[in-house]
Amino acid sequence: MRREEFLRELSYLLQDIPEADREEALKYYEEYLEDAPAEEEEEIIRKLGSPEKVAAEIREGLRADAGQEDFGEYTDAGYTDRRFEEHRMPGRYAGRAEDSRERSRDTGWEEKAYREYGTAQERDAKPGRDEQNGQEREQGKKGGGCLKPLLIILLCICAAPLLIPLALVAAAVVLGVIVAGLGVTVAFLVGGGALFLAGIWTVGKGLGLLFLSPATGLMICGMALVGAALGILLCCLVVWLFFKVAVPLVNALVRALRRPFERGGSRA
Amino acid sequence: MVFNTGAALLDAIVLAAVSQEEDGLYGYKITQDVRKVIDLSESTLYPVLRRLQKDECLAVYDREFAGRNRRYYKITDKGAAQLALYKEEWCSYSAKISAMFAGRITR
Repeated sequence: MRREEFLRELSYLLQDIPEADREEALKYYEEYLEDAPAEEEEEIIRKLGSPEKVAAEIREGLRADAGQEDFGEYTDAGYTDRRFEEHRMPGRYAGRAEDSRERSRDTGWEEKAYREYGTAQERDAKPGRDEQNGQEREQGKKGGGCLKPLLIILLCICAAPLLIPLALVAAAVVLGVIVAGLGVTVAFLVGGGALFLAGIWTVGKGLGLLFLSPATGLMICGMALVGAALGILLCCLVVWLFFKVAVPLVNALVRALRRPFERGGSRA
Repeated sequence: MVFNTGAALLDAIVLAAVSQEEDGLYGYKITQDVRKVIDLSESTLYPVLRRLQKDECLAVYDREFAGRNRRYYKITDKGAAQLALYKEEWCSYSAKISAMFAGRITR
């Protein structure tokens, strides 16, 4: 990933944080990448991780200092003498499991700062010093999360008397257009075929006439050949149009219809 | 790394790295210096620097470099006091651990 791309995505992902914080973070990373040796740029960007991860870290930092008092991050690790007693708490050094992720989860704060970010749920589910905080956060999320599907369902029920006939009408119109299109296609195809066959047949007649009245015979032959050629052309045109226009159109329609259902499915 | 670097230890390392230069250092350099000592992701330090700055342990200022601005982080008096405290605690802490490892702790 190029530098511009990285910064653009980061900027996009941080749209919802306060403007000043966003600018500061972007400036930091812009300078960071400018200070990196040009030939290592790609490597550094790879090491920074995905813009999503970097954005999550920035966001977490903001969240942490919004709730600093409750959080006790810095005070806990900071000024009081007590902190060193607390630092040797079993939680921090006891769980010396093989898996460092497992270990850092025990220690609470560290995972956020030093490890890759897990999913939001994983982080929220993480026990530790900010457990209470986490629970509150989770509850808040649940409240918002429950309300939305409920509202959508309510809306669907209220709108059903209007929506169902409308959907039926739309389906009927679409079906009608498709059938009409198919009909027109078939009609043109048959027409083209008929023109071709009639042309060939007339050529035979013209050839018969050639001996009685050469001029008339030739003219009929010529016109018949032109007709046959037009028939072939018409058939080719119809087939070409069918594959170039009608098939992609139907495909697009199917995709457009499927999309809301897919999203709805993943949400549920 | 087998051992975790706790929040306090990371703060201490960052403060020590920044205080290496009289005029302070910029983000990329701090990250590379810290990375020489402990294993951490390139993107970890931004929130840490920001927090230290908010806690007034670090001060920032911009200086021109190669036709653009570069943000420097510089240790404050408060930061220096904090670092001294960290160093002291680290010495006693690591000395005790080392003594234990060497079997020098007797009951």
